[in-house]
Amino acid sequence: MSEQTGRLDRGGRIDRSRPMSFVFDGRAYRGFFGDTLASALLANGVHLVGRSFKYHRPRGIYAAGVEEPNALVGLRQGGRHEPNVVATTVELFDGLEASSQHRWPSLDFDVMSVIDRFSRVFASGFYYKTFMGPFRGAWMFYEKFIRRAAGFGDPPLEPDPDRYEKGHAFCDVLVIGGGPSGLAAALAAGRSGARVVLVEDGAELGGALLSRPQGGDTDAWLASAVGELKGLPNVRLMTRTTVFGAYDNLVFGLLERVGDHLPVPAPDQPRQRYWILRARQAVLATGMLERPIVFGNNDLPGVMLASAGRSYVNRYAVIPGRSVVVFTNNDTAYGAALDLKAAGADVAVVDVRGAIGAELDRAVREAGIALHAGCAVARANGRKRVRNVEVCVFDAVRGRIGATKSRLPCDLLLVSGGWTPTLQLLGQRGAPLAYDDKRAMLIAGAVPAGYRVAGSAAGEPGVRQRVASGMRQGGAAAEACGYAPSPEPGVLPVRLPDEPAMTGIAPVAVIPDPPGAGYRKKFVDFQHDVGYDDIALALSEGYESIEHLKRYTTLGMAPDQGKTSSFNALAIAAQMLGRPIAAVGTTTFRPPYRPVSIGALAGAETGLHFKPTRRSPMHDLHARNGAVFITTGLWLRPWYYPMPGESIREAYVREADAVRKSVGMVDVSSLGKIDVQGPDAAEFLNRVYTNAFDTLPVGRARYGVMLRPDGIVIDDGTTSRLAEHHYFMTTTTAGAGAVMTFLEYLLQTAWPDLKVQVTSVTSQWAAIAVAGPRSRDLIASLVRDVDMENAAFPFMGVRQGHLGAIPVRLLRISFSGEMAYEIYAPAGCGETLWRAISDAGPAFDLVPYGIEALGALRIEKGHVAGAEIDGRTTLADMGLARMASKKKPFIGSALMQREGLLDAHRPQLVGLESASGDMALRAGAILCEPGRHQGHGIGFVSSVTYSPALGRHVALGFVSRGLSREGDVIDAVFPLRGEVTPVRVRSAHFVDPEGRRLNA
Amino acid sequence: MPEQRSALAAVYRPGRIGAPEGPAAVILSERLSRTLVQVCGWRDSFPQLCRGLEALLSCAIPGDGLRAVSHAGRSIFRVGPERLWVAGAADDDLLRTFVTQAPGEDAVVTEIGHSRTVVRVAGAQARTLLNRGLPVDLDHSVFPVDAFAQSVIHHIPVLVHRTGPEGEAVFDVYVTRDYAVSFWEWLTRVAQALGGQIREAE
Amino acid sequence: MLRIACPYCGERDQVEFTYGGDAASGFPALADADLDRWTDAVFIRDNPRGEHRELWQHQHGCRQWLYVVRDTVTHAIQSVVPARDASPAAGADGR
Ligand SMILES: [Zn+2]
Repeated sequence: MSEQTGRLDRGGRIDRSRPMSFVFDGRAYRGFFGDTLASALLANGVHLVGRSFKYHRPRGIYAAGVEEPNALVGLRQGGRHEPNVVATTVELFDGLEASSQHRWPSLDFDVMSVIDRFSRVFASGFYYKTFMGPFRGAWMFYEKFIRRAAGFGDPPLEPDPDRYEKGHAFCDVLVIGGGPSGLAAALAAGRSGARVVLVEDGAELGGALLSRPQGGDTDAWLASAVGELKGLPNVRLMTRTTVFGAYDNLVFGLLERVGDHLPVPAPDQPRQRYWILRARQAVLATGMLERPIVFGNNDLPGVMLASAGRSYVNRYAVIPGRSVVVFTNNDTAYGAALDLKAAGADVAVVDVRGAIGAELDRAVREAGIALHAGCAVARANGRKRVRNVEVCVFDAVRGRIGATKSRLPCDLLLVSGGWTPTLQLLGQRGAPLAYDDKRAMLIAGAVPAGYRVAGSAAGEPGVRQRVASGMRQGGAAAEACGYAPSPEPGVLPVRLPDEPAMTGIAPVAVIPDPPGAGYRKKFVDFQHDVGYDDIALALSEGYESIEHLKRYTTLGMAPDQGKTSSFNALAIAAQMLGRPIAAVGTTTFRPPYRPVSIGALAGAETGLHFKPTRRSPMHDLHARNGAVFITTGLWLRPWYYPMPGESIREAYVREADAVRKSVGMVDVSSLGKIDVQGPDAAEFLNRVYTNAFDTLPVGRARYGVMLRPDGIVIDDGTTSRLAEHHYFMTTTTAGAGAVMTFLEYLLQTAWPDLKVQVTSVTSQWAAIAVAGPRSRDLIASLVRDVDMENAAFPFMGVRQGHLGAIPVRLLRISFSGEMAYEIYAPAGCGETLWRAISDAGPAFDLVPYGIEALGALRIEKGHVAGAEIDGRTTLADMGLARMASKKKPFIGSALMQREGLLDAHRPQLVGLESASGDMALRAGAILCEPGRHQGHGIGFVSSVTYSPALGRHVALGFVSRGLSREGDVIDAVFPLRGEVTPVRVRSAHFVDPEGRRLNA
Repeated sequence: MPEQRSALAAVYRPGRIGAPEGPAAVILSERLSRTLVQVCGWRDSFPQLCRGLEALLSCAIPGDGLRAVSHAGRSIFRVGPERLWVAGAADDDLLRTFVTQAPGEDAVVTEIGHSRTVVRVAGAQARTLLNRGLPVDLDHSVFPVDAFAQSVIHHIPVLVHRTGPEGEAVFDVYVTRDYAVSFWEWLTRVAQALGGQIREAE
Repeated sequence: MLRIACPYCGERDQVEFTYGGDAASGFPALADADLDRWTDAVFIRDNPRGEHRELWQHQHGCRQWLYVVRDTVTHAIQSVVPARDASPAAGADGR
């Protein structure tokens, strides 16, 4: 195990009493609690952490935070493996295992890096032009090679063992960012009594203050602010949480990393939690990110953002280089130069500006830092680590470069090209950004209602200004929610230091190649390997719109979403086009700000919990009776009840046989049930059903069909009249929700004057159908208070009575064609009801049956169900034209007269059976004229079964002019399996077409 | 009528959930066999119907869909413009008579007691637990005692009612019966992370 | 994600609501057998940029149908009223 050669002896916010070991690319290293994976690697002198995505160039750690473009690693093993994890945001834990990406066979020796030699060939648009152009066929050949070379990381191959949660949260004021301005905003809002949520991406509050030397006077302020916030019960502090999306109506998507900093999540705890938070006001205290300067070989390991250098030294006590060149176009980088010098490094500064402020100048001289003003770093040299930089005279105003003046040896090049406020969330809301010339940054233009921007995100320069702006915006946000401002909004026991405002900047984004120095690649987007040349190429080919430029070059489209590259691309494009930055505009920002795992978005909705399950009141009893269940929609229903050793076929054939020969019982509780009451109930049903219901006498039921306004059948069912103004409607299981919603729609939008109340009572009633020639005898043996005689209780009769002690509704209706009853009882009595009938059953040879037998029985009778009522069929298509009343209008009566719906060639419902032998048919098969299998055919097979009654396979289907084709033989074609089965068209009523059995 | 079987009968097991020791952050219990009657009326005559109900039930009838009125063991919810739910004890005889004898000329009564399973969620983390699925703000400042909301938890339709006493987090969740087992599985799974207890059903 | 202020239940999440389509066309009288008017009402939709009058049902709340005026560009909701209050009593006579 190697020494931590880059670790300083003292300082930093790490806990040296808690050493941690970890493994990177198979080698063991040590770090401390408080490290990130990146800081621990740097502490161990590891700079080379990956290969680039396209050219496989060696890449090192470039940043210290979420903006890191290079240091993407694979984390953990097995099902917990996660690719593309940003090493600068990974909290080190003991036993952490990480590996580099985009290299084969090893990081040090990567075969694909040969692509880099041909990088000019592989410029933007290469794939598109080569494989989508005239030589399109080449893609097929090259694809497997390209897929191997490209792509981000490797996905895990095993299921994720961890759990994820979802949560809903609400607040008055959401403060995004836990830096000085965010803390101040939360304090101001919290003190006034508002419900505040403060969200911080990192593990610790403090933001940029954490990158200042430990023990400084901002630390005292930080401790006091955090202490007060923790004491406010109306303030909730959420660390390790990212606001990744800003949606309509101040709804935000948050990702809380509950267990990511642990080897495995704590028992019963989720790994991550996805929050949907609704706020009334939002304060963006999201800070800003430093941006690079673009120059030759600017992607070498050892080149790093100046702010990152400062973080590593001060926060992690890691010195990322001993011989440091700081290359800047602005004042802020001097903070890093001074802190690194103080930590013992040799430091030189190269500043594109001819002169800097007197105060800064004095500080630099006093520290003994060499300053090369009016110069630029034109390129970095080295192979897997920077070894020296070429410094040239540079005219920052004209952007002109002179010949190389000197080579400065170094092992670390810190770069600062200025700062970009983090305003992606505003961008997601469609808010425009405005370019501020003086500060050379994009700031918020119009801020959407409910949003405020504070601190460095608003371009505020110093820590005091940032805190003041946070206080102001936080207070205003609370006031906008109706809270009186707190009397002393800005007061804290600890004063912040007076600091010089480091605001000077010369807006330089790119350093041209020095004259006669040859070509070196200059990277703008490190993560997607997009260079300066690619932008030039895109513009020269006419992709001048910034949105086109983005898509052509893929700049900003990598997982980092262009955090370090978007601004520079914009500045470079503006320069090349000779337009002001404001005129070029920005690309559209979309969620997420940081990648979000699919696991978190799914939350608990996986496996069995993917969707809820609906169970009948008799479900437990069916399970105890050995039923095999099947899901139909959300419902779990008994499919069949196998006897020992029985197959599904044997079971349902036996069950269906019993219904035809003796009696069977089936759970139909999932049928939709709607209570329809009111003085206008009859009129209402007359309008929604195609047939009449006002003429239905009390105590009778009627089969009804409903159409959509466009004339297509939506559902069917039986509706009973329980009293003058009280109907009891049933719908299909699948149609229940849609019918209920449709009835409410009609009552509330079209006919609000009708006095009708509809209530879904699907869950209130258990329902059992008892069917078969002995059904009446069975029921009569149980029900004492209803006259069950055929004449007294005829077909389509409805009675209320008791079965044992259970109050029941009895409907004499049939789906199977046999004499049958539906029995409805309050759901909580369902099990007792089933058991009562079942107990009386043996004397009548009663058999319980499932929906496989139910389906076979209805197909034998030619009754339509969901496969036929498929949202495309009319009454006439299903042979139900007689159901359309001629005496009254009803929903759909106008548009069912459309030409297309009256077409005589429309497919009509028919029965089908194989023409020779007994062949099974397939639902979904296309019906064609014999031998003419091209095109759409003349119909299709909708439902198939083996008919126990007929002892052969039968089917229902739709055939053009089918009713006139009885006896014809046509082909059922199933191209997926290459099957052709000749079938004979016949009546859909396979069994008892006269309906004698209903009263037998 | 025979005893009303709980939809949770097969899955309900009193005892600890999640961490086996320490205080239970959430306490779950089923409220068995609640009587639940829906009373609807017509726009023109609904105020009159409400006055009649006020006399019958000796309490105010809620005027909006935000707050229930609880009195004498009953809770009254205005679940729609002219639609009330009256929930009461299993042996609430007065409520049971509504079904056979409508409590007013223009009243439309539907018995729906069997269609809902009532689960009580209490304890210091009751809000946290419910908000794992419920997209409704349960903070006391906006959801005080007797506040209620019809919404969804894990795609399951629910009515959530904050019952008393003042100062404690106690919520009754009315779940559509056929979803009850699915809801219970979700609830107890999510409760594991918080640590809780399932009490005997009441 | 939208938050819709239900006149009965207060401001709620979009997940409680279902979209019910364009509300501009209305519902012809049932007795009206004119195919063109029905075709217009059932099939013909504007696709405006900006203000859009549409129907939503508070499906998991009070189950009321609501007329919502929403901006299709900004998603800002200008008004929400119960459909039964705002609808012309089209087709009230039924026949
Ligand atoms: Zn509502």
